[in-house]
Amino acid sequence: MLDEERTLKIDKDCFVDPDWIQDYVRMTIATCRLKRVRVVRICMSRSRRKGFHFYIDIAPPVEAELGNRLQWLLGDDCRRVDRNRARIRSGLDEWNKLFETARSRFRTIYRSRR
Amino acid sequence: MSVARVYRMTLATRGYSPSQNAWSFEAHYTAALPGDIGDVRVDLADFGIPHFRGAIMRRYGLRIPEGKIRVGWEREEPALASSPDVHVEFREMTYRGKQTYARRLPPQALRYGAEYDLEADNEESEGDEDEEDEYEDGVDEEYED
Repeated sequence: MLDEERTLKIDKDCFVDPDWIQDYVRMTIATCRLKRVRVVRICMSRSRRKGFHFYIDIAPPVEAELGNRLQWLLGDDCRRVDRNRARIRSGLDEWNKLFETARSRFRTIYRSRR
Repeated sequence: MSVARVYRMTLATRGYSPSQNAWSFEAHYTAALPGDIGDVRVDLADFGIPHFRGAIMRRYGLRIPEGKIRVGWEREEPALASSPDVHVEFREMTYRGKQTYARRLPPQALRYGAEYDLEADNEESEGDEDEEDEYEDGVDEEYED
């Protein structure tokens, strides 16, 4: 049995305008609600070459399969979803890989008021 | 004394299996270490790469050039305390049909700072299976973020 996930990690390989990011936050909250998961906080960083990374803290924690499913629903890179699925099935606890440079800056773009 | 952080480093290399399926071998290193993030990343990579190359040499009889090894780092997190123990999980990933399959290989516990010789034969747990596989240059796109 793998550890439950408290943070969803999304790789978006495209740069977009800030108002698109605001839409993404609203869509993330709605999508998580579908699975009875509450979004506690969303942080983002710029990926090394071509887009954004989102770190979505959730409550309650979810099983690995649901975590990967939510990440797919939230538009995570499909090759990453595929590899993560394989890692989960092989029992890798730390299946949710998302790489960052040492200089990555993280910005909180949403925090739940509850 | 500097703050300890949990470092998660992934080393991977790729190619094709004899049956021409896309194939990769990855090792996931986890360590709790003190120090500047940039410095620790460099040191841990210097520590891990010879070990990774040794693991491939023993398992597949292949000598992988350093340039064919991708290094990825996850966001660091605070650690309760530092430790010289480094935990390594290996996965052999094969893409066949329409999805990727991972095969678990025996994990290892290492001592940070120990030197790992490419030809060394005493690092892996007993019960490992020997397999023959062949590397070729793969498309370099998997570990790009």
